[in-house]
Amino acid sequence: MKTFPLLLLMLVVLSGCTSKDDDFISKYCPGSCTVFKGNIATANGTVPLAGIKLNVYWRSYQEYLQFGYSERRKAVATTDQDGRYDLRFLLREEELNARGQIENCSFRVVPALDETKYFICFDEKAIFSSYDMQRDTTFTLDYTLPQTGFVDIQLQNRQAMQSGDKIIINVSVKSGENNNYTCSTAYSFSASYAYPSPLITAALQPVLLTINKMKNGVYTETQDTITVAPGERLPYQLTF
Amino acid sequence: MNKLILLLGMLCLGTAAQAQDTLRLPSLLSLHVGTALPMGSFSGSSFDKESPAFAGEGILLQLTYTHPITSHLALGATAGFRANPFLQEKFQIPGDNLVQAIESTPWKTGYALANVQVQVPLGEEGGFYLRGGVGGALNRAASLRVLTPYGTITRDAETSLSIAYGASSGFYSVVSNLVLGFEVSLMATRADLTPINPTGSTEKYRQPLHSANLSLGIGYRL
Repeated sequence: MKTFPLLLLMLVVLSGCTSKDDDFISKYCPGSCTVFKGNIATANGTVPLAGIKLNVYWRSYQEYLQFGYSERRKAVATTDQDGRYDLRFLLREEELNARGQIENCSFRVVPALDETKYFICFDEKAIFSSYDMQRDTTFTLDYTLPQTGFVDIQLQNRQAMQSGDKIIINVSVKSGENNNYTCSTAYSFSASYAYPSPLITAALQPVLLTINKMKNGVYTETQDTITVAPGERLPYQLTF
Repeated sequence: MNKLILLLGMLCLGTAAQAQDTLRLPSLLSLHVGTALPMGSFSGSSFDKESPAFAGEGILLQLTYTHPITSHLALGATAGFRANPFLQEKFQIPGDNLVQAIESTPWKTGYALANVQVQVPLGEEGGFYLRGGVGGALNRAASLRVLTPYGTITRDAETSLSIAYGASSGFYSVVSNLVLGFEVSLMATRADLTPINPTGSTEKYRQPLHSANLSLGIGYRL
């Protein structure tokens, strides 16, 4: 009988284990610095993004309990007119070689973005994350952040779709480190379900649409490339 | 804040219109001692800012001379000094084992203002006043030195000149030739600073150094 209140108390205590600190000693790194430098761009990596704020976070969380975490901001920088940035910070002893520790930890470089204006793949806001960071190390990280555009799918004859018929539209967006990452998202349409329009896509760069149709048991695939302006809602007519 | 000052001004002027024209306040020399509470980014410790000021509650010393022109209007001058400590406890994580030693000097401002004062006599024993002033300030930024096993973090105490503004309101009571008073004031100035950032480059910026002050004064009727 006494166990239950004790467990309840532990739950309350553990659920409050979230703390956030700003590490000024790290920010004004006096030596043995870990450095991230590079540039942030959009439009397939061709247009530099000025004024993007980047934060470096160290997060420690309890691997098995998951009740809370502590987060320490290690550095902050803002991109210049050419999209360049320079983040430097000092690693503390407990932040070194975090892989495999029971109290697991990670470093993340996270841009502070207006999420309505930038295309964020699968809600992953970090542009870099790692368990293993060392002092006296410099990383070069050039990263493409697409801006957001929209595709308004206008399916002309959806009433003709039968049970088992479907259309899957795969939207492929180039982004990420050195613009080498492809973020693919699939949207499905059937007789009973239609993904709510518009679809979110990247602006100012070619975006590959792969359209897979299943009609009367026959599968076909076609591809198209579209380009939209930031914030534009491009009508896209599709016939089943 | 602007509305409050305007309201106080209207109150003083309205009351002054009803006061006796013949009652003329004496020339006063007063020394005020009080607390200076940093306002806005002067008290800031934002990580996002390149060099947040980290200023804490400090001291204020102010010498003011007032000479009446009419029963409701006076001219005068103020010379003041303000010192606000650098808040080391906000700069470092509590129990920070990277910090082997930390020392800092406070933000300091010396200033001189030429004043215009609207005053409302309350008999011969005292009165209320509203004062505005403009002048110059000599500012010395806080310095910081943090010793760590990996090197030393330093922030130099830069010196700069700036235009300063003052606004104050208070009351005083005359007892024989002695004057006792209480004052609420604002002191506003901005310092141009050029700190050296961790990469070795410099970035010029303007640091507001505004404070709200509360002080008690003692003076002499001349």
